[in-house]
Amino acid sequence: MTAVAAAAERAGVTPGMALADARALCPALAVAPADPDGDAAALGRLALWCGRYSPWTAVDTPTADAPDGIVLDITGCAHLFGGEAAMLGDIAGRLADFGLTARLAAAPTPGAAWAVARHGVGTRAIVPDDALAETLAPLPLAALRLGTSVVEAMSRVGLKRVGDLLGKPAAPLAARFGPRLVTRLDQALGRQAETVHGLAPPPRHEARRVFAEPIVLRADVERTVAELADGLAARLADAGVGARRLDLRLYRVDGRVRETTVRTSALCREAAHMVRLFRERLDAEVEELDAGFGFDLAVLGALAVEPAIACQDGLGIADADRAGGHPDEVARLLDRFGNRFGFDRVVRYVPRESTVPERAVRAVPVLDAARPQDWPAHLRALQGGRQIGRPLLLVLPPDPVTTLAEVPDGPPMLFEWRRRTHRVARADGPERLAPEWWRPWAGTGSRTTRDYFRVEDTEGHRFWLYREGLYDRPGDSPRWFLHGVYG
Amino acid sequence: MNMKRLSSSPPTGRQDPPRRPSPAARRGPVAVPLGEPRLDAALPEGGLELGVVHEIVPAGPGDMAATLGFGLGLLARIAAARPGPVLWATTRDPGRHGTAYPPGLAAAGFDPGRLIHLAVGTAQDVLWALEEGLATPGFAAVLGILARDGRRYDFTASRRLSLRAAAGGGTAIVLRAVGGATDAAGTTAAATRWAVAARPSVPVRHPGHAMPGLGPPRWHVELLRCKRGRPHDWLVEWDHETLRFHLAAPLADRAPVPQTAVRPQAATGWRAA
Repeated sequence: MTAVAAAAERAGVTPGMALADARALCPALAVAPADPDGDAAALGRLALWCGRYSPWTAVDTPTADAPDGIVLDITGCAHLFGGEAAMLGDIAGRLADFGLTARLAAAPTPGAAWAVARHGVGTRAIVPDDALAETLAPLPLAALRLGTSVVEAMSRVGLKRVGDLLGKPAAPLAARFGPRLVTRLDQALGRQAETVHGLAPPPRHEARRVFAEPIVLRADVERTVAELADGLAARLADAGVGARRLDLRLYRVDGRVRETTVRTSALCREAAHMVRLFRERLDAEVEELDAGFGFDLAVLGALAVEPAIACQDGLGIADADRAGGHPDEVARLLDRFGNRFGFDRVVRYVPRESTVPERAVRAVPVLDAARPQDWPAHLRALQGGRQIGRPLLLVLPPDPVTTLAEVPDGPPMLFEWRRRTHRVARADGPERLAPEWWRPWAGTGSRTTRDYFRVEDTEGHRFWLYREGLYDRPGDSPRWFLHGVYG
Repeated sequence: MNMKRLSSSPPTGRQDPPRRPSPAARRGPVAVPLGEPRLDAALPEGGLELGVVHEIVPAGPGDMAATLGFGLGLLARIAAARPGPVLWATTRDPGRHGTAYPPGLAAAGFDPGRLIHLAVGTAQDVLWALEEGLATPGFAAVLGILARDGRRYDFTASRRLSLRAAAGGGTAIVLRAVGGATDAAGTTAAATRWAVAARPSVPVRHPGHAMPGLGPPRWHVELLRCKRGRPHDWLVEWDHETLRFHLAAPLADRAPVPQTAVRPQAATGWRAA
């Protein structure tokens, strides 16, 4: 038995018991196979949901065991819900609505909250600042987030409760039971700071909207996004910053959280642009906006915030005549393309120092700032002295062609590509290309040199053919490939 | 902003169609000359009109690359006259035609640094991207290649593009791969439609080589439809260094070009003849 329900516990079943024993104790026991991965995933979702109470939430994994709790940093958050007691009440009520039984504790330190939540009396507890030591003292030593071996070792010498350790000198304890014991004790008592690694860094700026009545309709969601974007844009403008990433979280009544992130290339501070990005993002989503029983909280957060330099908007005059086009508007459209189709789908090309055709060019995301590139020089470097150019369209991977009449060291007189026979009437070349010594040719994996020809058939179609292998080597039969088509 | 109204329309119809343009909405030059007087003379504005949609179709099944070559020539002419990047929208799967190769574009005289390539899933997305590109001031031109699902591009789609182009002053070039000559009869709202076929180039004799080399690319370009213009056809060559089209030989009333090495300089001599 890994975990038991409250009713089974009352019947005497405990975790760790063999299934046969448990059945003997409680014949009506309903058994489901343990699913640790599923549990962890569900806990992760719940932690995300807890983001409605605090921006800093994490799945709690203090020991090597499976995670069994969620920790929230509610510093400065509790008053938004009417105090710590009201906040815990709200959490408990909502979790009960989901059908979950929870033990909650609010304490000045994460260690104390952990201890009281798991080993305290009752299912809901608030530890005041001045009663930290008194609250912890009666708890068992396991409440200090220690391994079972340490707890057993201490129980053998008569140390059973946290109170047994209070006031004891730290050095002998550390020497006997390891430094971790002292660290954990200090953390629980607030003598040593402890960091909680959250799911994600909380946004520096956010706008949120709570609904008394959950919203379901897509139109309502969009209206909410527009409202939140207005609020967020005002906050960003006040702080003099812009965002490169915006994160929209919609909290469903049943505890699921829908998260949508959009990115921008230029710093984004305009509500209209945010709204448009999110609207198109929602449009592009494959599945319908699944609101379930509705969303009762929406949060729009600005991530990746950077200082923005305020710029004059031109006051509406001379806008059209600005030299160099409208970089902002183009950048905004590229943001929309990227968020709709994926940022790997909107690219610029930059030259790369390589003679291998596939590697001679590199696609870079448009998010990166454009730098002027010297393409003619790159082309000259690619071609060497020979002027056979490069094809407009590259066929990838190179298509094998059947040659029908071959001339040694020259182009074929006839070749067949895609079931059409082409009679070669003009040819330029060869241009010999060798793979880079540290890697074979892309696609084929061979390392032989290639002789490229630019050929034109009798109808005027132009092709980039290459021969792999040489004629003069015995036992080596060259093969022909088509690698591109010229305009 | 009325979000509800904007969101309830179908994906391509997300925003209101633009207003009918007023002539004052246009700015800058109306047309870009193609560099060849006789080509320009056949076009109503004395060159390739801006703020409209141009269609280019391959004349035969193997002429896609030639079509792209001609389209790239037009694009290079526009890009030389207008500032800003060029949006190049294609479907993710290029079909059997191969993918655009930037060094090859550079070799054809078009600066790949001005290119922003968008690869999307469907022809509908390409059309959407073209519309948005036309609605955004700042692009020199937008080019859409509908390699496979060209039937998405119908009269309605072309009309939408034309209205956007007229409102924003942008220019769109649409390359359709499917169809060829038969399908090219379909009615669209484009200002011009060109059919392009590859033709054998002027051979360049190399001493000591049995097989001649390739001259500049030569295409048979047919102006199928042109508002306020007359259908015509030419045999043109593209000079990637001067970024000009040249008339290779007047087709109707002259003898074919003799099989000698005719370089671009010689071709201009022909024009003067």
